[in-house]
Amino acid sequence: MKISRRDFIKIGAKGLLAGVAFSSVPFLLQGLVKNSSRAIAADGGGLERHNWGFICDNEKCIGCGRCVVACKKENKVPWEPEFNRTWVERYIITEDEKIYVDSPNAGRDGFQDFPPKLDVPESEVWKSFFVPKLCNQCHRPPCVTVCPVGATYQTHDGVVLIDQDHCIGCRYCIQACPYGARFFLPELGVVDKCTWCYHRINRGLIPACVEVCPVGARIFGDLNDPAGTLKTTLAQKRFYVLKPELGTEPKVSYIGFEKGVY
Amino acid sequence: MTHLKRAGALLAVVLLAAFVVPRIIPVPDDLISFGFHKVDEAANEQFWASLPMQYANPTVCNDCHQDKSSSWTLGDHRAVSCETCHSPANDHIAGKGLPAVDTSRDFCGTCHSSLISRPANFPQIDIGEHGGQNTCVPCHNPHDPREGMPPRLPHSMEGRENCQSCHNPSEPLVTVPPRVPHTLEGRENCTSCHGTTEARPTALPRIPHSLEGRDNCLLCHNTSAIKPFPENHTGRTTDTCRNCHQPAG
Repeated sequence: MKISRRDFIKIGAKGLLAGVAFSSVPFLLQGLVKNSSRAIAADGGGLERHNWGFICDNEKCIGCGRCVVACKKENKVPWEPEFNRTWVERYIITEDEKIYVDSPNAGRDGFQDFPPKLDVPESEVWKSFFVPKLCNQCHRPPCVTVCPVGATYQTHDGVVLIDQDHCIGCRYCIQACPYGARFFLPELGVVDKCTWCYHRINRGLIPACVEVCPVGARIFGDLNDPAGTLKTTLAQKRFYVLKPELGTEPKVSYIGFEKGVY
Repeated sequence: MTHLKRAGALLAVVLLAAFVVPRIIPVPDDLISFGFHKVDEAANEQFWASLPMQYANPTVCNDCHQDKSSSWTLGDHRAVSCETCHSPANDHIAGKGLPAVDTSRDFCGTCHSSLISRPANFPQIDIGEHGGQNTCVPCHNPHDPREGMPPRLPHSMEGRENCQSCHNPSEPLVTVPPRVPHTLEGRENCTSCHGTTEARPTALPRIPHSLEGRDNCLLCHNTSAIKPFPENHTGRTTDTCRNCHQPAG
């Protein structure tokens, strides 16, 4: 049998089209069946409604550590100082611009004295202040990228969560987080981190650390709410994020910029 | 050509029948239902969102404790949530015991002990010196910490007739410059300097000031007190001041 070049191309093209059409059938069917709606927010809206954000105000923080205590109690975080979803750091900058950072017991018991370990007298301190730390719930989270089993992911309202059933405890994410926000829970053999009190914010409340802060140094809110405290504060204040050069796009904004805070 | 077309069509049907259609049955919509392949995000979010809470909020506390919250709402601790000091309340709300509150000096000191790192405008005390080693609560009502404390300065004079009830010569409470506290010896009429409607303990009368109600210049203008008194003025008395210094206005 002889077949002309024209016919060969015609038949080939038809076959190719048919193949593509057939192979797409299961995906189309799956798309019809799959239920993609997600809604757990107490206010009736779907997760997509919210884009949670957070502010820490270094100018207001008094280093009392009530946030650390509240977080541990609210989230059953082990009381020992090496397990923390949030903590408070004390920055001490000397006259010759040397920077010292400490966080005794992660700030859980407050800060009692001028750090005894520091070999600099109090008179040589140029400035000193407190910096509250917690998970930045990055828009581009490196911890999610590295998880080999996909146990951690970003929700549609912008919080990075861990599935404790899927986490294999390899701790790669602890290494990947540039902010030290993750830690290992030996009891469960999984990694744990701040969820911005996911159980509170989905009931219309604020995270426990924000609730107990006596000086309003922590602000929680919805970046989608233009009239909310979060957006109005960001509009009025100069703020920065930690390690912006890493491109993680953190959603915790800090008021009170100081060179050397990381 | 027709047989070729037929063969093509047949091939298509066979492909569809043999691979594509059966694939729908064994391949699931997602791998979640088959165990450990992928996180069920919705279920995981539900897990985190439904965890029990420990902390309530002041609105809930106020439902029962209006007596406390009424003074708290007006006091300087009004921005401090009940549970910041009283520890989480949800067990208490559920009828399981009272929330513990620590009334030790050290507990108040976690916020108020003087630290170089705290914002300068935040009220701080030397925990070793202030008020002996007594607990704080007898003097400072924790719900309204300035209750019974000296008013902020300068304070209004409204309703205050007797200055010396607070500002008495032996124990002056005002510790603001310049050269104050001064003794009250020989000073009967506080308002001659400190205004009549608004106290000015932090500021002296504007210069040049009127002489109305001021008949003793040396009360203020003397070598040990507030205003300039040049050395060559020694021996001058109130009577001679006005020879040179005319009243203003």
